[in-house]
Amino acid sequence: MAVWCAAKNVLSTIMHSFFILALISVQWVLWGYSLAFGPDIGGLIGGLDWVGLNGVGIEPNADYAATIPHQAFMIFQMTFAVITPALISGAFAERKRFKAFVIFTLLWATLVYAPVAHWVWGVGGWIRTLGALDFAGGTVVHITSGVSALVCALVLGKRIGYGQEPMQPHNVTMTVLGTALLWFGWFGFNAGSALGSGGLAVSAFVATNTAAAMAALTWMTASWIRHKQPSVLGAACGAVAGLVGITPAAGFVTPMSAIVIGFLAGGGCFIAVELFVRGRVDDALDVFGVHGVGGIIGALATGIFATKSVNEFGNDGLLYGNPGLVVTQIIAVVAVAAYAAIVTFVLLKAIDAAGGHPRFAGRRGPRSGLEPARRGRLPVLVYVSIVGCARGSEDVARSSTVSTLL
Amino acid sequence: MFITALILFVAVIASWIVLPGGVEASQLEAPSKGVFEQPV
Repeated sequence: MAVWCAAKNVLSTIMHSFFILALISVQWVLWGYSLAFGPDIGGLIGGLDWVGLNGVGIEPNADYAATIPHQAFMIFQMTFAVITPALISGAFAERKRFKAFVIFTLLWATLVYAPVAHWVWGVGGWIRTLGALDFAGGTVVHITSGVSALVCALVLGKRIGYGQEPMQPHNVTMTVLGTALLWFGWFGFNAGSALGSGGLAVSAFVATNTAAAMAALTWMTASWIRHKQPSVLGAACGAVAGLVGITPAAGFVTPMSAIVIGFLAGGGCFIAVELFVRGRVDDALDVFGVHGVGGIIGALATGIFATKSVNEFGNDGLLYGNPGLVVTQIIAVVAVAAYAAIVTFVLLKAIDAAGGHPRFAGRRGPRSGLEPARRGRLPVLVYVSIVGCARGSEDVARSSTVSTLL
Repeated sequence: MFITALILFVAVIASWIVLPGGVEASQLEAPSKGVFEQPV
């Protein structure tokens, strides 16, 4: 994600992602895991029985993962909890002050991520009870973060110079490397969600790689048609879109369906980003266009392509004689998106009002850099955490310069 | 589903033959200044 920002804000953006890793790692073991996966209360939230990992030990929990230590399941879920708010930070890259960011992240993880995770994955969660399928986080991770990112971008407003000044990623090479890291790491998310090394993990692995590859080809093709030349950034964007799109479906669909899902995700996200989002909303790293839209496409595609022949604990979708699953997926998508949007908006307004003065970077954003004196010198090598997508690959192709450093 | 997937794949790849422009490295994104060229 950091590599997509103007050079003068690279360190700030890196710091956001790195800090989230630390912040949510501790939040998760203190109360986050209990709220998300603890004993159910009304189908809406987990109880506080497991705060401080009380009762979460080495013995497996039969409800979630009967063959691995309970703490292994907990720490695996923590990686999802860390990644999700980190995705949101891409939407307000170069515009948000650190203090507001810290408060927002902590509250968002507690009030949005934990409840939604409980709804979809928790025993007794109402969306899980409804029968909606989400193998590795299409709704829990990508729709929540994508929609919340859109709200953040709208509330925070556009950066100075947006639409007038070119705002290219500061290092394209590192961007592609970062995408490769993402692609590889995603196998841990999707195949790992099988919670065991067996047939289901392999199936999810194959589906994930296949969808990502097809989406990369699709986006690059779409970008080539629109911008008259192929783009490595387009391929990178497409790969991420495909990874997002297959996430809810990975453990429920066949490899052939994964190709179709990759095509839909790559093409759909490209259309969303190029035709609807850019120019209208300054979502700095296309978080909504890729993660939000990709998550929605993937969740709906799950309702179409899911089959019990891949996962007997799943369900059959539209193509296998069960159109009801599509309806269930739609309900899940709408509920999660609406909840994330509303709570995110309330949080932003509350945080802004609580201090009595603006806490966001606001209009200081990209021209002066965020608190440059405190950031020190920019690093030569950039730590790549999460990759967003290009602002406009054609802009990078035409430009021979990048933003100057402080 | 195999036929659908195959058609999509072939269509995407085949379109590259008719689209203008090439895929030589020099025609991909203009490289940004490398890290060793950027002032520190």
